[in-house]
Amino acid sequence: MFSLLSYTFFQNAVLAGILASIACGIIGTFVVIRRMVAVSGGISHAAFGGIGLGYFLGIEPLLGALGFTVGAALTMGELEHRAEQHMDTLIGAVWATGMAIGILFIYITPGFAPDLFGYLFGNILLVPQSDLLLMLVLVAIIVLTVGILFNDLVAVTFDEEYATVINLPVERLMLILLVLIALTVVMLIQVVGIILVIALLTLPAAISRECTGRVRTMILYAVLLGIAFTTTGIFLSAFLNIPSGATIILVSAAAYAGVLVKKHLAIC
Amino acid sequence: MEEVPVIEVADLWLKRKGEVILEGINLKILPGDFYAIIGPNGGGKTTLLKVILGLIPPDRGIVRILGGSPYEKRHLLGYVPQLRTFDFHYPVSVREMVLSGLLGRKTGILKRFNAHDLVLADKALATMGISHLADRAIRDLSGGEQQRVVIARALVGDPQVLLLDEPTVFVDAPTETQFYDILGNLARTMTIVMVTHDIGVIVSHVTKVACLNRRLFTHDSQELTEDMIQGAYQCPVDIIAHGHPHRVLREHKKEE
Repeated sequence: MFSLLSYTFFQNAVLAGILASIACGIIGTFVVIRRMVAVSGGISHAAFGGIGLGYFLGIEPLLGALGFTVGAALTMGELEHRAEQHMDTLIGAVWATGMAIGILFIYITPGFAPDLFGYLFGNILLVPQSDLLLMLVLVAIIVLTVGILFNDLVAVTFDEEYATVINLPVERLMLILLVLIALTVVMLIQVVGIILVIALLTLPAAISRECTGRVRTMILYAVLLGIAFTTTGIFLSAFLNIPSGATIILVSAAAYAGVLVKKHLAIC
Repeated sequence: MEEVPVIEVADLWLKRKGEVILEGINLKILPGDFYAIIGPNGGGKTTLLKVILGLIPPDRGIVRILGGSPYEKRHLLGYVPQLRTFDFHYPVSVREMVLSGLLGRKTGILKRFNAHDLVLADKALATMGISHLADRAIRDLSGGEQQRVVIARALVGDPQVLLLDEPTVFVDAPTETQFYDILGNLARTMTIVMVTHDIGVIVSHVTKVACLNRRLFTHDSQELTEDMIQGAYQCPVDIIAHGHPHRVLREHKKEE
């Protein structure tokens, strides 16, 4: 079994899983406690538009995705305040528009149709070295930003109105959080694909939340759970010769279901 | 010499979707007041507090807090929002939540809490009688305990003024008396402004009462006059529906 680890592609896959889990554990915790799962869904589907644009312009599709996700995050944050639109509505609009732009650009791009399936469902076993470096940089940005702003981010996600009254820069902090979600989403597209990004952001943090009443501990548990799920999923998918992204998510979902069942039984 | 008001509201108007929510409000709260603003649900009580805190911009009128604008001075007030607006499932401990009340006074990028902050938090917890709950998660507390934590968060920076919005909604009857005793003690050292639909409250501790139902009826004393109640509640049947008819009427007879 461990002979698999001697292959570079397999080492890269496990490493990518670890990096993604660190980002997911940190950002997913805020996403879950602030109830922003749907926001993350909207942002992640906006990324599809960026991937399409990247192909059309002949640049790295992930750079296009990065531009689109950050753009979508900033637009939603601004519109919620300035145009007084419900976040719910904005999510729907951004979600559909991002997908439509992606399909359109890929259609008008001459030549071979790119492997869209790979972006939708991801393939962690094919992560190249260069993407690992990009992920490492993004993880460093996330860890540093959350480390510095931790108390502010907790205050703003816990009680936005009170944070306003004590004159914290609420709008700016929320925008920073949205941008961090966008960065995480781009990174996760490599690992599990757009469709499953939401699950990997949500499930480890959701399980972790059942076990602790502190944000810090919740982040730590979510990171460790993410690493366990991705690594298990990668091994399973290699052994059973099944898609890695779907396997990782199903492993996570099974663990979440297990925790819920256990909790339910304990109450009854 | 006239005292400088800690909160002053002059000719305040607020409209929402063409409907007047607050109409020509004039209010002066002086240092040491324990000021209760009562009125029916939907009468604009919470909205008035939010305008005072600069959370909702008024259409007309002026709000002054401690001699400055709401934006300049609001972080110096202790604000206790309505309990039902909270997400008490948020994973935060009692001590952490109380400490967050100090964030507004921290400067610089790194806002870490130091030993002095911890002492302030412990003091606020002791004042509210919940020192033993410091390390518990807020989601594991009862409604009454949660209410005390929210007040402790407002108290942690030793504010001159405490603003409370419906502080007894989730507090059961026996703890309510105890609760008002704590507020009564606090009133010795700070100005308290409390918004409530609970008319029974005004019997104890409170020094001034106003009734708010779009317009504000003030009397600058703790007595509720017939005018104020009639004005705010429109008809006496409403008062009876609120559950404290005898107290209100007795108060009223004493006055005559």
